[in-house]
Amino acid sequence: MNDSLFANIGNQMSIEDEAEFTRRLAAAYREHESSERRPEVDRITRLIRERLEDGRVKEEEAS
Amino acid sequence: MAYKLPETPVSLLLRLREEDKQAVWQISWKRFLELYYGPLIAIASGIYRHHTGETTPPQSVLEDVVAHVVAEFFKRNKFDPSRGRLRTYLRVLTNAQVVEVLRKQRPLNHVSLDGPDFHSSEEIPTESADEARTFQQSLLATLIEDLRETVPLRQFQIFEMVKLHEMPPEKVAEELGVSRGVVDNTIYKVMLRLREIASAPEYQSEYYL
Repeated sequence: MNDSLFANIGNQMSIEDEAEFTRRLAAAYREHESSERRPEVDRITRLIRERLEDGRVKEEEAS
Repeated sequence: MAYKLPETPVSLLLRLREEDKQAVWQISWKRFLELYYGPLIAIASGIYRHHTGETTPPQSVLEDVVAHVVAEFFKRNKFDPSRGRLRTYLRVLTNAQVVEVLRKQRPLNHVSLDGPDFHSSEEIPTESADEARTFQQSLLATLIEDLRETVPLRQFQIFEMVKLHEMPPEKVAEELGVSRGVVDNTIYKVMLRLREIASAPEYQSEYYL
């Protein structure tokens, strides 16, 4: 992101800067929405669950 | 009325991953993955290429590395935002796992990963433009999530329709049965709140340092 755009975010923004900021927000929102439906995210979710559950079982066994 | 500055992305993550609340904890890592999937893949891909002389990483390796990094991030519970940026911490975790994967892939009699045909396993490449772009996009998505938690549902709904779905304000007013003035006033207030959240030091440091 343009540095000056984000650095001035706490202040009054120009119409152009606010439009650019909003455009980036909307793009990020769409990207995030689509990532929730990606099959690779589902596969990674399963892998993480296996790792975390495996770690918990080992911790319980050790204690 | 005193205004409490909303949670930052980092504190949001820290708050959600309390291990004694298992259900919340599980939701938090899934949410983290959904928010940061793009930059994590970009980081893993860039680091793999760096250590292998620009070889394209197989998708299965990337997914395995990302899964490991997210699991480690939540298991270790050691990220301290006062000591550095989230992206730096993720890059260090990712580099360690990519190096581990490459070591396992190489035959025992092969040259070491630190040999002349490889960069040092400790050396992490500088952030690529793709990484920076995807990380910033994830930060903006996190900003929206933070906003969702700190404004009334109706206000967020109006903001979402006008600013994120880019619907004309007059159509939103008609659909929700409110005046155009209510829509405009809500957008003004929500944008103020959004900018206030975005100006928090944790967000700013992720963009600049």
